[in-house]
Amino acid sequence: MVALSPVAHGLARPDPRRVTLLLALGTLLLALLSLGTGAAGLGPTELLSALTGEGLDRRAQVILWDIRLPRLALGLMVGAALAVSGALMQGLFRNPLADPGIVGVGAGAGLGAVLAIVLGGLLPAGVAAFVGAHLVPLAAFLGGWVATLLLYRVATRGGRTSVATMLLAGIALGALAGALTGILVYLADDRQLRDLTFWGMGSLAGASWPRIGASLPLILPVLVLSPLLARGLNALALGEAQAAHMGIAVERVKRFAILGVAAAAGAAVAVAGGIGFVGIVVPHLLRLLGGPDHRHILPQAALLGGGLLVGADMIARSLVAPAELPIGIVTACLGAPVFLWILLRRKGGMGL
Amino acid sequence: MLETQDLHVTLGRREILRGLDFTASPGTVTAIIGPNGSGKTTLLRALTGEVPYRGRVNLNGHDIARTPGPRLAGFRAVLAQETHVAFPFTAAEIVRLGLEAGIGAHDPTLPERLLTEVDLPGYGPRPYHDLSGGEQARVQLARVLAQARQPVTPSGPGWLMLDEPVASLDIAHQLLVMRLAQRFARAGGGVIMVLHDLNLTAMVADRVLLMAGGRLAAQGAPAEVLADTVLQTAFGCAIRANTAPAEGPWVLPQSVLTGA
Repeated sequence: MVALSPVAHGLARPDPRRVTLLLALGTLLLALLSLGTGAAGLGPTELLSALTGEGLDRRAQVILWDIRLPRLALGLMVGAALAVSGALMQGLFRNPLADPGIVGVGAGAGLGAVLAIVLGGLLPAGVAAFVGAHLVPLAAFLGGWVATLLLYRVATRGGRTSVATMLLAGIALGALAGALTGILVYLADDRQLRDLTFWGMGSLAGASWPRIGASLPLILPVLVLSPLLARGLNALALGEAQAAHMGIAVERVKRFAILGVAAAAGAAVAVAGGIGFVGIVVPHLLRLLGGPDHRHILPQAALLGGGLLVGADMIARSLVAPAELPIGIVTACLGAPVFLWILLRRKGGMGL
Repeated sequence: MLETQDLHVTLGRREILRGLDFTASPGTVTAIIGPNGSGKTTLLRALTGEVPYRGRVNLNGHDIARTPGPRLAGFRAVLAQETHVAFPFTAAEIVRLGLEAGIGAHDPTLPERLLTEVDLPGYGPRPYHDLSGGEQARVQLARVLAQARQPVTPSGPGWLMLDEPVASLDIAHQLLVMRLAQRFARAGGGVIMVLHDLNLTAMVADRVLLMAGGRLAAQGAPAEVLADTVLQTAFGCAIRANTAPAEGPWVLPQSVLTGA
């Protein structure tokens, strides 16, 4: 008879629905805090009094509706987009180190955005009028899409992704996109240079309702539809062949994941510049917290990513107030150590 | 019924399979044996549609090249020689992947019951990456059994295709896996598995396919295939098959000193 196995002591994981609820509450709290924080001295008490019907003066109304609310909305949207595209990409590459910012997808999207800013004027007037404010996000999406496709082709052989190849190919892609971006910057005129500098700072400072409107059509569908890929991404964790044997339409899952990454990461880069590490830190924290099931990771990433970016934006605005730090600096300071920590403690299943 | 017709596989410029014709029936265990590099794994991967092939593979009357994956997954589960798992899934979560792939309802206690069947009772919440190689192999087997939980499905008999399912297991667990395979076949399903151990083959297989150089060197009942001259030609070393015991033939390697 088979020998008795030792009794297993498992790690108790929190109920995923409770995690989601707590994340939603935390993000809501941060959002309210963020609305009451800023250089104009409009604090939470004034905002509360506005809610209780005492009304705000004209100046306060402008600050709330035209500055703080769009900034909050952009932060939630961009953070959610970055985190969800990170989770999708990690699922696609079966690797917790994949992040649009690290493996060149952000640079590809950046190249697309710069192309649109510098050469957008050459478009026929009809086309320009048709795409309008959506031109930069669309171009960023296309740039991110091409970069993701190239990366997947280079880094994945026989259904397995090599971490080393993925990171090296990401460096090469990022360098190439950076060089092409450099050429375009060299060609740009003064007005375009100002647009580029403003865009490249990686900031939520340019938040406005039209900007949000321009990128929402790319980001919202990804946030809402990505959980449909969850079962496929879970199965892909065992490799492409195993996923196919489990009845997953592997090619379709890959195609939609790549499109989703490009749309969400591209649009985020287009409106907020290069904000790094949100895509890698958020899914990693969620896996530590409640396990790697993509059915929970994907919606939770949207909540935690949005909350994290709003929090980072508060730090960026308050550390050197009344000036502000580029938010990319804050996320890098928080995210880079986490990235190194993942590298240090990694073990089985990384597929190097 | 599994049928192949003139099955060829060429990988790169090498022809790995050179025209295989055979059938395997539901209700039986078919073992694929043969020396290293004879094409056993490639054959299994062709049968599962993992490598491109010429010829035909029919499973339950469906040409597998023209049958959508989700449909096949409803009556065929596949265990690879090695499975790498990305991300810190627990044993129960891995088994649940198989449950979601199969057809029909399942209840939440099933992962734990299947883990108990592969002698991993209470292992559900344990992280897969913390398990030993043999335990991981049995978790994967439980996943495959979860997918093929109905030996007879509405679309015909279920099939288990296993590539060296006992490679990393101790002898007790090797026997356990053989019992599970046999039970599946007795319940009406079909089992195709690549094996290295000729004695296990002799004990469990109803039919044996002996591969050599990309061809079928022999096929038939264990007593026919596991014979001295057949094995010595295929493997190129001195082997003696003892057909006397009632349990079936026992294969004894002769002394290393008298080897080929």
